[in-house]
Amino acid sequence: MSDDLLTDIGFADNADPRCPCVLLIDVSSSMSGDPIKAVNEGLAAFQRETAADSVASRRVEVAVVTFGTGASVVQDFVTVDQFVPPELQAGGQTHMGAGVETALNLLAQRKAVYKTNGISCYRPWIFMITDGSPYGELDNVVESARQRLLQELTDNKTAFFAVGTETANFTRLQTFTAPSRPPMKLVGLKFVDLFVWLSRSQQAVAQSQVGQQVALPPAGWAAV
Amino acid sequence: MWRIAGASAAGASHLRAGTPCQDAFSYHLLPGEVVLLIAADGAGSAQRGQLGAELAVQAASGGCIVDTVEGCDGEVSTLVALVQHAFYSARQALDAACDGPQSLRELATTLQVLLIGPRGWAYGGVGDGGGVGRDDTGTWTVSPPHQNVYVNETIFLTSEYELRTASGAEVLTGAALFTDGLERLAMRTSDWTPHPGFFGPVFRLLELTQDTSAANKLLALLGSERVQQRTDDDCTLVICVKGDDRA
Repeated sequence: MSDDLLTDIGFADNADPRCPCVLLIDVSSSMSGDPIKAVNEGLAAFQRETAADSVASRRVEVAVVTFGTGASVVQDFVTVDQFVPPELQAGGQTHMGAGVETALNLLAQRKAVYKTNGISCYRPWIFMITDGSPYGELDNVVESARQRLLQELTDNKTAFFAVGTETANFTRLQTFTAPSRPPMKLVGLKFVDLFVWLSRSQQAVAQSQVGQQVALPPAGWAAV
Repeated sequence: MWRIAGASAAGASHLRAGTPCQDAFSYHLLPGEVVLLIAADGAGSAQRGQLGAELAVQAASGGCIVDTVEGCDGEVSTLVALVQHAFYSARQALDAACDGPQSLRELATTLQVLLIGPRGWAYGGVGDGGGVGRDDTGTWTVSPPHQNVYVNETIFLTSEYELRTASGAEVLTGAALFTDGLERLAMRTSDWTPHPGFFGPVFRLLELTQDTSAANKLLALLGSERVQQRTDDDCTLVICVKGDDRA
């Protein structure tokens, strides 16, 4: 009889909390050739690694925004088990301001969807990759995007990671990041290593408990 | 005649990491047929979160016991004042146990206090976790959680906190507090309503079981594979039901 009392107890069937992540990728002409090929291989590795983790594949939602001449949403948010890595092409200028604005807008929309549906979420990540610095946009466009981003970082609305290849302008990139999270330099074209790291980090976040400071794995792809 | 029971169980992530259960709880029957339920969840990121949770629970219950040693009129306004004083006592205990902001952070914990009297109830909470009350209209949440807090982040008693309070004149026949490890099992998170399939049988279990073995059953429930498969975190449940006086 005692066991019956316990087995009578049922549990709520709630949607998994989501862990949104925007991949914000520079596809300007200087990324042509080997760099963009390496990025595409990295995206495929990210999908493979994250999908292999059953919890992360249900909780991590990924979107891909590219910026060249203008910015575009190549992939709107999907959970990783639904994510088909795109084949990105490079060409054009470096409209980083438009890229940042597009990423922030996409995140705001997604958070509204979560709210409407009562889905809880982890702090969103924007993960930007570039080989240069803003180019071809009016200064005030870039500045307004940068200010909006910094405000969101101050308000803890998002976590922003900037990764530059060796040709990137780190002095400029640093003005986009929080002091606690300066831009990181990618060694060579280790995009696969970078995205495997991103996947592991997102797996750690997706399984973290309340109040836990998520210890990110060591970034073996980054120059110290 | 109130029946009260509580239990805490370590979550799978704590067992894997070799860390103990960092939840703490307490319950008391105060003068004037007032039930006091308390639950705390020590922060996983804090070095001494477990100690913080235990200190907070002890101080909060100690405060309420001392305040009512000469009796309690059970009025809602009295219960509200007791909740406020419980939080004041808990924070004071944490402040006294440390020697600076650094070690205060190490004691980070959430805290929830629920008082149920003959003419109403009062609740206070800092951080996540929740409480429900039951009256003749059904079972309902006593306080929705803080908005705009991300899943793995919360507010602690050790930081600059805003006490979430609620009270009402409903005459409760049952109530429960739970820590966040049980949130997604016990509540429908979309509108923060209690899951009837959970609380109905849990209240019944306490109604049909003697107090001491009820605690063992709660412990068996929280440690069961069915629960552990659904949550990774420490779980605490403290519940009370009003028995049939005629029985």
